Amino acid sequence: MSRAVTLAGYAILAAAAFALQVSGRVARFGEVVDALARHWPFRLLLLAGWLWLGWHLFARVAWR
Amino acid sequence: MDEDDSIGEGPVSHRSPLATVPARVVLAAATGAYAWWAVSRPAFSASAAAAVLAAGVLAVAAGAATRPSRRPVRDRVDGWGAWAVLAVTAAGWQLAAYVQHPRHDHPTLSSLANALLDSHPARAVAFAVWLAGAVHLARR
Repeated sequence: MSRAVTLAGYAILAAAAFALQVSGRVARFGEVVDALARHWPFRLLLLAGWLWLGWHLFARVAWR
Repeated sequence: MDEDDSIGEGPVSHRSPLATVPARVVLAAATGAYAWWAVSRPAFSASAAAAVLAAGVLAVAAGAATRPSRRPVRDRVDGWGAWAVLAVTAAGWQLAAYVQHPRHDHPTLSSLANALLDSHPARAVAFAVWLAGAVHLARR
């Protein structure tokens, strides 16, 4: 895969997510998250994943 | 009933003290200052990890503490399968990029985010947004 192909893949995935979000035919992303968050194991997983994301992006990167 | 009897019987406000405008301005300023400081910690250091995780846990706790006791949630979520397929596809695409090198030719979401957040202000704003996201997620 070249850089252009990889980026095109991400763009297609983002476009698909946007289409799902605005289509009105399926639940919105927030509704799916809400439904998952009703169950405490998923809720715990979501919060842990969010904390990991912050740690990964802001503590584990040499950006300067 | 005397007019005086009605004094103080108006709608009772149950708003949190943090909901007032001055409190929000102070909170936003403090968050911004903390974010600016936190992202300036040396990378891969214990102080960076502590600065990020302590604030994240505090944000989650703040969100959980202010979580509405009853929140309308749909019992049935239509089309969650489409989101699941999209999530698995995205994870697969990300993994395919991650295992290939060089990184420039096979960027991951992390490497793209790092390129986007390559300045101190951008990184501090992203950190503050991440904290707000933690509060929001914990309130769900």
